[in-house]
Amino acid sequence: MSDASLIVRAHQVVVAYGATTVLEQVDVAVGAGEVWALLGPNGAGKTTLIECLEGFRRPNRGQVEVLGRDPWRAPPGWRALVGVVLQDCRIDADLSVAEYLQMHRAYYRQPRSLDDLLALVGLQHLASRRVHRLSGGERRRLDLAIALVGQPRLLFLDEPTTGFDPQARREVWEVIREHKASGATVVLTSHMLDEVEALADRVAILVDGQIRREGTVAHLRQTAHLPNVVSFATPAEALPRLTSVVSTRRDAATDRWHLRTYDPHTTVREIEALTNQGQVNVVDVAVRSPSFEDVYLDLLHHVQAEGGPAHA
Amino acid sequence: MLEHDTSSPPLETRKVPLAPVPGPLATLARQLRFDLLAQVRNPASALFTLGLPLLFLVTFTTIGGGRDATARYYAPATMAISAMSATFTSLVITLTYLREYGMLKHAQLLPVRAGVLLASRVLAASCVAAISIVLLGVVAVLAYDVRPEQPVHVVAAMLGLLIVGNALGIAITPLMPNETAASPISNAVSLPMLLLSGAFFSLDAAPEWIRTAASALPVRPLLMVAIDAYAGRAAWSELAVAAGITAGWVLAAVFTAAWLFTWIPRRRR
Repeated sequence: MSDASLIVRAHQVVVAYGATTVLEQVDVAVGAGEVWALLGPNGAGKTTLIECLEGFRRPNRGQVEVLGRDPWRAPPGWRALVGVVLQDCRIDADLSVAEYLQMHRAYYRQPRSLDDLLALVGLQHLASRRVHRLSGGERRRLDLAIALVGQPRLLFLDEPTTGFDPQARREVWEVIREHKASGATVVLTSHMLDEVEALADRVAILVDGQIRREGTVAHLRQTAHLPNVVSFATPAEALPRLTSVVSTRRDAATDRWHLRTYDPHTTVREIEALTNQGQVNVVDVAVRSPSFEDVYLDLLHHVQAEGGPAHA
Repeated sequence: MLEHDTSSPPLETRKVPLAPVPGPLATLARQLRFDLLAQVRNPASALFTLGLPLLFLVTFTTIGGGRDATARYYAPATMAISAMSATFTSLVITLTYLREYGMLKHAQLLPVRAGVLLASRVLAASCVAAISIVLLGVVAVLAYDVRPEQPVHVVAAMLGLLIVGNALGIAITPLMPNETAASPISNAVSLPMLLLSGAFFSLDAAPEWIRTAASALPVRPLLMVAIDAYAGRAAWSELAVAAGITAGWVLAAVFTAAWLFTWIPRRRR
């Protein structure tokens, strides 16, 4: 990726609080129109890294450039290009939802219309409700609306759907997709891996202040080499050995077998053959690919065991 | 601690032209409207800023026999209580609350100078205080037929109290551990300060050393100017000395705020 196509770039960023190094020579490159997700366990340094990219925190060493400028010294005109949903911000005011949005619209020369914003996050019916009377999920929607007021070229979303019901989450995903489709770039931090899988073009995994894996969800899935699981119900307490199967586990409570395999197609055929031969009586066969959560947890397990940096 | 090193060449990401943003004065004017709206809708704020000083004016004047002299003392005294409540106490509580709920942090990421947002809060607090002071003055006229003999001195003294109240409020906010502690701590500071300044009762009978110590506090010198101005015996020199002491407190508060003020929540939610 050439530098000119990059919207966010961090180079060898180091952040330390006293003797504790929180970020250690972190490199980030996010292209225009990309959704880049940052994952990592609690305390990995995600918030610190995002704060450096937002211009809220100045790295001790290294460089950060966002939209062509050092965010630490960026003027208000740069901030008008950036929208932010913070994880630890709980908006509260004795203003109505519409008034609160109008207040934020006044910070921009070309803001989205009020009606557009309310419709975008589904708060039309709550426009006249006081902000302090909103539920957690409704406040989060308002947070997102505030981030979108200035039609930002770059959107930082830190846990944007916390407290949302499943339908609301999908509505927000659609808003994010539409924003990306308009050419904007999104930096996403989330513990909800289905959200990351649904939205992210690329994912970086930060562990102990270092980016230890980076790539598309498909690439991370591929490099994780996790087996699929073929499961089925049968009263049989033992199974003949199947050549394609890595390991087997029987859930006695449900009479269900779970077979781990790298070749689910062959495994299903082998089970079919056993059934045809009358060796076992199998029902409800299911094949499950490893979820992104499985992949993430496996990667986390491996990178924590590795210790050193290992960019994929 | 590592030094900040920014000497390397630029990374040359896509340079996007800056977005046009409204000027600071236009933003301040609009923000002030919303901050005032939020403040007048807060019943607790209205009670402490206007309700209690009004109650004090009526109660203390009644206890004092309802005489002119008593009302002449308590009209400016309750104005001082109102000024400190609307600025100092209110700002400490509001700013601590905004800080702990992450709204101050979020404000730093908006396309507005943080100073503009802070200035709007200060102006909103001052407007509420000014309205309250005027209302107390009107009540003093209507109920007790008491007017300031030297209104310019009273206005100057009240203006000084608003400035020092705001400055001290911003300076002490960083010392608040969380939003629930802000109200008791700010009241624990302001009430003794007002008490020692003679806002609740005259210090004429107090020991000399207490009056001397109180005259170095932020409220007492300006309050005495206002009380003397109501009685028609305030001198410009008295106002000048009070302004000098107040300026010292404001400077100390500004330096403290510049040194300690933080926009980041003390505790993560």
